[in-house]
Amino acid sequence: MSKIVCDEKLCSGCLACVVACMDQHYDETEADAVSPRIYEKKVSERTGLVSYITRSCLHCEDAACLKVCPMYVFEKDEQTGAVIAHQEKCVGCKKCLKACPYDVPRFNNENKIVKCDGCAVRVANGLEPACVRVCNTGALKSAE
Amino acid sequence: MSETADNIRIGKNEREISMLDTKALLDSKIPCDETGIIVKTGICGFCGDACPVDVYCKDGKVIKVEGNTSLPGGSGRVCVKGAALKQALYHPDRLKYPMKRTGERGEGKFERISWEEALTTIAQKLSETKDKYGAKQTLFYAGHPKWFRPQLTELANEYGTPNVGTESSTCAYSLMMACQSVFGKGVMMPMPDMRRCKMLVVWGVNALYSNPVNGGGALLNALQRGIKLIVIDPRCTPTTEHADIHLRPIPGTDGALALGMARVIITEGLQNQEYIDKYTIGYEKYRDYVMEFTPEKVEEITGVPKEDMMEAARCMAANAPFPIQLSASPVVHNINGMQNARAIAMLLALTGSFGMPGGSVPPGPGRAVLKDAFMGTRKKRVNADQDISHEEFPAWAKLTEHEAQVTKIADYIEGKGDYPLRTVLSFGMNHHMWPRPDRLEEAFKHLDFFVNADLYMTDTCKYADIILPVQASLEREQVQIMGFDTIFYQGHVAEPAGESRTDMDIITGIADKLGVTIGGDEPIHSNEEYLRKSLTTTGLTLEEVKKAPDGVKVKHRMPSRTSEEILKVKTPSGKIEFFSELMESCEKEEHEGLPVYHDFRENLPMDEYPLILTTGSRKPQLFHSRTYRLPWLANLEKYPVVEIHPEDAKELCMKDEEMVVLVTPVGSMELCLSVNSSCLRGTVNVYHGAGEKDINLLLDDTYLDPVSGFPGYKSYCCRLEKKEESHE
Repeated sequence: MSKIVCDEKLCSGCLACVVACMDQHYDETEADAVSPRIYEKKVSERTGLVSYITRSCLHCEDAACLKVCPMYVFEKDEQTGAVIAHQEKCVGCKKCLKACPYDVPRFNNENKIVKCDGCAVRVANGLEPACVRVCNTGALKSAE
Repeated sequence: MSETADNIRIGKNEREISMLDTKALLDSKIPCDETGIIVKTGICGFCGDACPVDVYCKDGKVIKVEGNTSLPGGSGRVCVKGAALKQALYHPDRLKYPMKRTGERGEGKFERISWEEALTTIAQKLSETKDKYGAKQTLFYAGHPKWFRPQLTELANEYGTPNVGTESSTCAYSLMMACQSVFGKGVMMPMPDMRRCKMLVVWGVNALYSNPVNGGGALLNALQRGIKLIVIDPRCTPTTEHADIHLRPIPGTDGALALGMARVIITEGLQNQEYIDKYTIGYEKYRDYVMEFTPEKVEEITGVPKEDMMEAARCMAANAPFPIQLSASPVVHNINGMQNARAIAMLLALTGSFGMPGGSVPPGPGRAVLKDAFMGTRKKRVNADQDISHEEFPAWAKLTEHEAQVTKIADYIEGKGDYPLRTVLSFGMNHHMWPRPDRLEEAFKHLDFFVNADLYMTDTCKYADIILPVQASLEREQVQIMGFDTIFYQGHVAEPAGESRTDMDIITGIADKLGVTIGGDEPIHSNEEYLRKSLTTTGLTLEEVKKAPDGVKVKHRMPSRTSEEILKVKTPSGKIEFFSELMESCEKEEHEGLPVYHDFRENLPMDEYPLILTTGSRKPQLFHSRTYRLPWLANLEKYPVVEIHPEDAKELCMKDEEMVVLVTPVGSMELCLSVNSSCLRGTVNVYHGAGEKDINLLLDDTYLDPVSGFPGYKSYCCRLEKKEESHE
């Protein structure tokens, strides 16, 4: 499956998953690459430690982005269940962002959608998603 | 696994390829016949460690890197820095050809020359300095990486200079001095027994951010076994999140904390008296000294609540033998750091934890070793007693015999030492690592001749007369020990950049032009001969290891060691020393035989600069200045920042992300404020190595530990001002 879950207790906020995602999806010359994996500050309840937590697309069964997009950018991959965005079709209307209950879609310099593809082709070929493979603490796992 | 040359592991269709078009497979970098993408095993080497990585290549170019699983120690994971490795490898700043300076020093104007011209000129200039002033006025220097240091020392010996210095003048050697003064020669970084300990003390380390992936993994594995964890760290980190007890001493007060813990252990009769009687010397003097460190006094010095300190001390004693995990720098980056580190090390002796299973430096099977490898090899120098730092740092001279202390390099170049250094042959020097890099930039202008070999056109390179391009880890042939006893050979996983060469080929090339040979009885003339020689301790040949893409077990390794053998320590007395005659005999200030605590604040203008300035902490994506070069890592967060506790920010009426001015007795700098409750109150934290905003510009280069010569990076003083105020 392409859906990835994070055990927040184990996550150290090292951001290896964010950069591994860029390594998977971009050429090294793309300095301004936007990572499909989203990272946000988190504050430890216990100690007040400020670090990061990361997340990405939940690849919803009934994906709101897919329904709302006028350009038919999104496609549900039958084999892995991943919601795939065909970036070249995107016109940057951001209806998907408004519709997404999880604030997942991001947009690059050209105002085109950047979103987790669940590494669907890797998964279909027996490989782990790049973020799961790299995760330094074992916090990230592919959902059953 | 497909068994082919040049480290190709995957490439054939080992699994059924999903029915997708080739473009989709290519876009997702799926290694298979359809895409022509192959996976080679390589060594990351970006930070100086040697994590194995799977390198995805297409048409000879690296297109993706992930953690390796085929070699021992290959967890499949790679740290955030390793994940950006291709951006480091193909960075536009990579040096591709030897070059000579055509503009002024620092201007950055160079023109391409041939290797022949470069090496001939270097040899000629080195010989001129030697003939005119004597060989010792040349410094041989190694920054990062470190692997060729023994051979650089051999070259210095052949040339005739004792002045071999490295970045370890501010990195690990102070801790190594401390450990060797207590536990004897050869005990440099006391390894914790992560697999057997019941309890672990982590003293100033955040392995989850600063160690190679397997270092953080070892901590998590130990926690999963259910060990107790005590972390001593002024800051909150992901490691302290896991702690049962977290003590937060003011930076630079670690010694007082350790002595206070020792007092608790002794007054409550919890020390291991049998171990002390059998294996140690000087206990009575130590016991009498630590009695000064009452819980009340220790709380006053360190800021750690006395109840917490006492609980930690009792927990240590109850769970002994226990290990203390230390890192190279945090404790010793204080002007009292070497003695503080001795006080910490002695807790291992007091509780009978050194050399015991579950403690530090535990007994167990021996590892494989490579002959003359950097780790474990300390080459003797010619005329070591004439090196530039010999008189000023006598304890260093006795405990770090294999190199000079060069923190005061700017002074030495400017002739403020016993004699001037006129010529510098360096590999991977970064002058921003020292306090007052601006002083060193001025000093460089006094040099007769300066060579720097590096991966990138660094700021330091801009001051050199000749710069030499070196091969990155993935580009150079190397052999590495994986796990305990497996040898892995890496060929040219990536095409070497331009005409870059290995550091070893540069060293042997210079030797050749000087008409000398390095390697003693087993001379080496190239990197390949070095590799052959390094394998002689393993019983394997280069041909054998080349044929084994998944590594091959060594035929010989170091003998296993028992506790009794480890406890036959190589100190002058042959016992673990609570009191060091070697230190006392230096007859210099702060070189006491006991681990005497000297409060660094006594000499700082704390009235005017009330905040303690800590620099040099790690973020996972930062490795000194190196990773600021890589957009994917540098862009992850806003830099550079000064971190401050919310209450301190409130008192100063400052807000998160506000630009503020940090002022030290040396100078001032505008930085972005980051309000972060992981900071200790009264202490601010600035990350080092950030290009223009180099915090080392604000550190006093005379603010040094008199024993080790280490700068007080972790505990200097400063104040913060609103941006407007300081403009008035």
